[in-house]
Amino acid sequence: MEIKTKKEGDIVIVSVSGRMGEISAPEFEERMKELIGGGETRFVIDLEGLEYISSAGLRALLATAQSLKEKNGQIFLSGLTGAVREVFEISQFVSIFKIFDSVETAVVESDL
Amino acid sequence: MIGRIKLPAKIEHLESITRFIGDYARDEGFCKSRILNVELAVEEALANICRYAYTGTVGDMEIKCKTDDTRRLIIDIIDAGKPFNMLTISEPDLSTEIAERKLGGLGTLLIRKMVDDIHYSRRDNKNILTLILGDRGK
Repeated sequence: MEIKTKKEGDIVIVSVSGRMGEISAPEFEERMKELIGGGETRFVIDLEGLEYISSAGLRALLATAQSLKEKNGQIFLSGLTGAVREVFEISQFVSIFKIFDSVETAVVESDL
Repeated sequence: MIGRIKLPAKIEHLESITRFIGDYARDEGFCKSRILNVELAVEEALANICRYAYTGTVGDMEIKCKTDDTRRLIIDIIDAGKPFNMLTISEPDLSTEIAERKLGGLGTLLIRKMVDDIHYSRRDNKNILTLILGDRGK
């Protein structure tokens, strides 16, 4: 798994690629905790490069979203494809997260 | 060809086994998306073993795999921990919003949805979870 971050205005775009499984998911959650701890509250998580996600990855995303909610923060997802989209549909995470086709759309929506 | 791998039930060994089963499915000609399904079902089952099977003790997790005459992959996932039949676990409540969503139960849900068939048995003081996946058309 690789995590890249960049900032557009006050929105942090976190691009995650590769595989988010049992071993890598805590790394993602830790990185998000650092960003939130540093005062960031608005995120677009770009999953276009993500090939695989397990329940550990879902739990990391959910825990992040729950801690952001307590801070009135915002988390949008973008770029779900293939096996990752399948897992989001099965777990019905598609109905609890705001999901967009592209980072650009998510950023525009985030600004509204 | 019968495949087999056995390692201590520790999270750090999960990737070795998921890679092993992924390679096995690839060698059997499974398509990319179905290989990811196989890897996911196995990772989830093994994560359960690592977390819950051997509380206070150490033990192994083992995989035996083969294909049947219809080219379905038959995977036995074996541990000698306390008796646990995941088929008795009820599905998590998926209707709740972010704040109320529980973190547990998703792994067993994903396993059920990935496989074509699933069996559990307890033999010789071992849990044997059998996952059956065809290449296409779940």
